[in-house]
Formats: sequence, C-alpha cells, structure tokens
Amino acid sequence: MNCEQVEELLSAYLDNMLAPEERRAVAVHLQTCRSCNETLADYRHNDALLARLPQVHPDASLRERIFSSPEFLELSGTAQESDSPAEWTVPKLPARSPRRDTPGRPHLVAIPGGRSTGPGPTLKIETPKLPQRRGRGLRVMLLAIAALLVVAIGIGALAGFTGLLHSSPTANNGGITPPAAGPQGQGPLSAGSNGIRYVFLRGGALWSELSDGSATQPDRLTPATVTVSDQWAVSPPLPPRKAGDMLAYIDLQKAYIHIIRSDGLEDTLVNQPLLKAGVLPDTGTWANILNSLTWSPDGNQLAFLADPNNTGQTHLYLYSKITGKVTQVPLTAQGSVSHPVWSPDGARLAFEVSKQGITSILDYNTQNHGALTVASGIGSGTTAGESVLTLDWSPDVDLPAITWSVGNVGHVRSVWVHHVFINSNEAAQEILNGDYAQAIYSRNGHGGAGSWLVITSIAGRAGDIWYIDITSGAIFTQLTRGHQVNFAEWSPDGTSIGYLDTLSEGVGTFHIVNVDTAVDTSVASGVTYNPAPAWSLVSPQVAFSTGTSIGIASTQAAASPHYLTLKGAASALAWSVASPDQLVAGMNDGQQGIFLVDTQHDHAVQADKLGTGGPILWTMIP
Amino acid sequence: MARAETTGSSWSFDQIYDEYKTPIYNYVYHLVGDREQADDLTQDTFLKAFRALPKMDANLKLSAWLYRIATNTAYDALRRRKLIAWLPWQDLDHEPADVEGADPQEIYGTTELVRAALRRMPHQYRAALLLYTQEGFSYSEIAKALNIAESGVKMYLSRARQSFREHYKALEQGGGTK
Repeated sequence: MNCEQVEELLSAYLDNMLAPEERRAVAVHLQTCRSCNETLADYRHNDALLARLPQVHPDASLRERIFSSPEFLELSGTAQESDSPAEWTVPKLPARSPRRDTPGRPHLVAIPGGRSTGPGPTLKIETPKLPQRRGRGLRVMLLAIAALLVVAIGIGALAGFTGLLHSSPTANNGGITPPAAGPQGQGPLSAGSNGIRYVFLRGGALWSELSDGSATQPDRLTPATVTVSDQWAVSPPLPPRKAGDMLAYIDLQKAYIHIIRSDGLEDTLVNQPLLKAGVLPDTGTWANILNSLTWSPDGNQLAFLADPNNTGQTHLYLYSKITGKVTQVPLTAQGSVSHPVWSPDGARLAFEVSKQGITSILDYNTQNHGALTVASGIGSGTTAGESVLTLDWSPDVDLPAITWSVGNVGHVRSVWVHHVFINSNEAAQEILNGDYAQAIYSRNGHGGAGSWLVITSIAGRAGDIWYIDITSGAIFTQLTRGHQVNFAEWSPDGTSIGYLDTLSEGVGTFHIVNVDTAVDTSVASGVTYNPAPAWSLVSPQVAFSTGTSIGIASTQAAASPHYLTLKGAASALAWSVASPDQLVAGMNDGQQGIFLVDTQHDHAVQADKLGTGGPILWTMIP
Repeated sequence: MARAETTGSSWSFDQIYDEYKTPIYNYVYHLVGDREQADDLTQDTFLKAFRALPKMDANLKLSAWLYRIATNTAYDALRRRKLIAWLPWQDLDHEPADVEGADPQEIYGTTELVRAALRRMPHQYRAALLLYTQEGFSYSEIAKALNIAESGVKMYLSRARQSFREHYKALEQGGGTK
C-alpha cells in the first residue's frame, strides 16, 4: 500500500473498523512511514481535543420556552386525549451513550479515580451504564485538572512530536510519561483494580478492564502520545496466580519498549533505544525486533532485540525488572539474532543467529554467560534456501532439550531435538524428515511430553494429523484419517488437538481429536479459523465462532454444542483464567463491542462498544 | 404534564427533555456555532420529537432518533443561512461556553481553535465527527443519526478528520481561509 491508499484508511484504522487484511496492511505501512504516523498521531490528538471540548449548557429559560409554547400546549392536549400510551414505550435504560468516557474514544488524560462507577443492574444485553453524577465541586476540580492536562499534553504534542526519526525519550529512574490515569503512583485507573483483568489492543492503545463486571468501560492504559505495536506480551503467571500482571509493548512512535502493569500503574521505559535515531530499519530487522519481546518464566526479565547503531543486525538484550538495567548479551557469533525463547527454568535462552541466509541455533546461559552452538549451517548444503520455522524447549527442566523445525512455510522438511544438559555430547537428532504442510510444537503436547503435531502434505494439499514426542524412542503416530486439515492447534493441556477440516472461504468443520485415544469428534460445521477456537484453561470447554454465532462445546463429551444468543462476527474469544464459565468475546458487527458472557446462563453484558481486532489476554493483579 | 406512558417504564416529555437537553443543545451549538440559534433549533428539535413520538415504534432508539431530528433541523437552518447569506461565520464566537471550572486559557485558546476549525468544515462531516468524538456514538448510531449507510460513516469520518486536521493546522499557524 502506498501513502495515498493508507491515508484513506487511517481514520477507520484508528477506530478499529478495518477488515483484518486491511488492518494488517496499514500496520505494516505504519511501521516504516513517518508521514502516515504523523497523520495518525494528529487524528488521535485532534479526536482528544474534540472529546474534551467543554460542554455547552442551555439556559434554564429554554425549558420554560418549550413547555409553554403554543405548539407544546396544543400537543399535550392531544396527547392527553389520545389515551394510547402503549404505542411508544421508551425503555428507561439505557438512555444514551455516555459522553466522552466511551472506550475507544480519544483520551488525552483520564481523571484519577474518576472512571469507575458502582455496579448496576444487569440486563440480558447491556450497553455501558451511565456514569454516576458527581458533585459540583468534584466536577469543577476534575474539569480543571482535565483542562490543564489537555493544555499541557497539547503543548507537548505540538512542540514535541517528532516521530520516530527524531525521537529521544528521556527516562527518569525508569519511569516516563505517566499512564493515562494521571501522575505516576497516584492510583490505579479504576477503584479496586486488583483482580483479574483482560487486556486488548485497539487503535494503537492498550486497554484493560476488570472481568467482574464492576467497571463500566475499559481503562486506557497507554498515553495518547504512544502507538502500541501489535506484538505486546503479558508476563507469565506465577503460581498460584492464574495470570501475570505486567505488559511489555513497543511504542512505534519512538521505538522504545515500555513495561506497564495491567491497571495502568508502573509505566516504565526500558532505557534502550531499539533503533538508531533518524534511521528507518529494513523490514526484516524491524519485524525481528517487533516479534522479540519474551518474558522469562519468573517474569523478572524481558528478552528483546534491538539495532541501536544501525548495523543492519539485531542484537540480544535482557532487561531486569528488578534492577531496571538493560544488558546486551555478548556473542562471538556474527549475525542477526532472532526468536529468543526462554528455557522452562529461566536460566537459558535459545535463539537463532543468521548471516547471509545461514542460520545457527545458540543456547545462552544467563548464569555463567556461556553460549553453546546447538546447530549451524541451516540454509546451506542440503537445507539450502530453508530456515528455522519454530524453535522451542522441552518441558523437562532436569534434562533440557531444544527442538526446532526447518523448511519453508507450507513445506516443513525436518524436525530436530538437541539435549543441552551439562556434559551432553549428543549431536542434534533429526526426529522427522519429509515434506509436511505444518509442524506445531507444544511443551504441553501429548500431556506434557513435549510434542509436535504434524500435518501431512499430499500433492501439495494438507492431509492428516500425526504427532511425535521429543522424548527418546518416540513413535510417529497417525491421529486422523482421510481429512484435509487446514488449521490445527494444541489444547492448552496438550491432551487434544482441535482442527478444521476442509477449510473453504474461511470456515471448516471443527474436530477435536484426543491424542491418547485418537478418538476424533466432529464438533460443529462452519467454524472460522479467525478467531481460532478458544480453549478454556479451567474447564473442559471450547468456544468457537461461525461468523454469525458463538458456539460452546465440551472438549470431553460428544454432546452437541450450544450457541449463545449473542449474535454477530466474533473478532476475538478468550476464556477467563479463573471462572469456568466466563468468556470474553470481541464482536465486529452485529452486536459490536466486547461482551462478558456467562456461558452457563447465556447471559452477556456489554463491556465496551467498539471491540478489538486483536487478541484478548488475561492478567491478574494480586 | 403530558406523559408518554403511564407505567414506570416510560418517560414523560419533561423527563426526555431533562435527560437530553444538554447533549442535544451542545451538539446543535457545535453544528451551527451560535447560541441564539442553538436555542431555537433545540426547541424545534424537542417539539418535533414530542409531536412524532406517539406515532413511533415501541423499539425506537430514542437517542439516535433525537440526534437525527436535531441534525436535520440544524442542516435546514444551515442551508437557509447559506441561501439568504445571513450572518457570516464568526471566526471566534465571543460568547464563552457555560463551562464549570474550565481553565480560562483553555476556553480562549485551544477550545476556540477547535471550534473555529469545526466551523470551517463541511457540515455533514462536522456532524459525524461531533457525534463520534463528543457524543460517543458508534458507527451504526452515527449512521442512524445522519440517515446514511453504515459504510458511509467510515468515509464521512475519514473526510472529517482530514478536513479538521487541515483547518486546525492552518488556524494554529495563525492563518487559514474562511
């Protein structure tokens, strides 16, 4: 897409109203185009100015004028005589959209502590509840704060917006621009923010909302001066918690990483430029950097890539959440680093290093700072033109192994395992060789063995599912027969695989196959792969979209799925990490917005009116 | 006082007025940029609504419907104003808004620039932008309020943002054409 085409779409992009393909195309363009980024930033800034335009009130005399006008007196007489009240019953709630605080609207600032309202009665399908009225004194104070902040941010935006090329954000003790809620440390966005929140990206901003239905609308977490990239990452859960609480994201405007808690607190700048100021990176380098955010399993470190000196090669960095310091991983191997993956114990990092199309796989030990070459020469010799497709670790902490697949998209040629425990002199072992349509690894696969699901390729078309564990002596085992598997995914616990058979125009028949028993159950037809069926972590259920409805099916029983009364095309589905029957559904059309659904009682509450095109992820603040 | 419905689940005319007077007045004011005219148009809007309400369907979306009447009423006025070449647009409306506690510098600074930029936009785009940013309407609500297709809202908002950006920038730099 060129700038002219993108400019036509920027407004809808800001409102998250583009089709997924268009949205992706615009996002790709924005990653490298300063001019379109400036236009987008202006739109966002101007929307915020308009949203904060002071409200104009009518004089009290206008009421008298209307209700004593001859037209009204005549009308009221007629109305009294008509005696047909049932003709136009107007429901009392909801009355109208809440002004200004609607999620997805521009917010230069949020009013500290001012967003949350108490829980109200729930309807079958609700629109957000009306904000509570505040006292005059409080309103005056809040308006004054808002006005001052608008002026401050407005001046900042006008004077300071230089875009990616001239950016040099400054850090103070790791903290920068306070989150949208107001000054840092002043308090979370919503009263009582502790608890389980879901988070999503919309219009270049991150939003979060409590999942207990107590909030009336999502909180904007990131300031208007920041454009969040699509590749944001939630810190892993620390048992017994169900989800992590910190988010890492890249600001596309300034090419820096931020860490922020999911209630908007602790917004911290990672003091390491990802790019050299004034230099636009090539697409490959930038894509590598954007895709690199990886939390360590204990949530204390973030691995990421950067090219701050414009060498054309990405380097590996570690940010410590405890010290706030960034260190570059020293490597003797020359080349561009990509795809860092933490080992399950958080002591090591596997990653690729590529130079001139030849890739090596390295294992870096964060404790003794040693690096081991696990594989080399990928892309040369018998693997000429191929690259590493997937790289991951075994689940075994005591006998760690790295596993990876090699080939091209749609043509997986080989799958490998290399044990990397101390004193292991084992060479990498090729556990699979051939031409497969896809190979998907899960550490939990096959009930925690660490397993690859592989889709065979027959005359260039996708075939059946097989699997192979990465444990020694594992057997390549067929799971389905006579199917054309176009989409497959492991269940979170690795006991089952969900797949879509014979995908046509984005939908196919959804099956679940048990890996142990190979029992294959056809769940529903007309199921979409975007969004993919979502598996619950806490109950044996899966939710799927048909493009017009959302179905809920058991992953264990062969019972027919039930369909929610919530209708429309889902854009995202995410089961709660805590409640067995709570689903969050992002809806594109039909009933647009984000809905909290009690799947057991088929009861949906609208939590937001605009929805999201990206994933919805869960967080938990202790 | 006349009531729309005798049960507790309905609203009387004065309840409807009390609930919507400020958003409708605010919307109309920003469309026409003149308080006196906003008074007249708000009165017309509510009287038209009260007159038509008894004939409306029970499933009426009151909010979008009221905005639709307000929009049409304001458009009519704007067209009339154009036809008879009435008063020219004032660059700055020296009738500060009735704002509680807002910063005076804000009122006469950014706010006036924003209002001035709004006034220079084509009115249909102005309406779409106001409904989206000020009133918090969704695309489908804007479509209903402006009586256009939902797909048209995308185009309206795109043009509106381009137009506002252009005029606001020009005004900020101390220039711009009327």
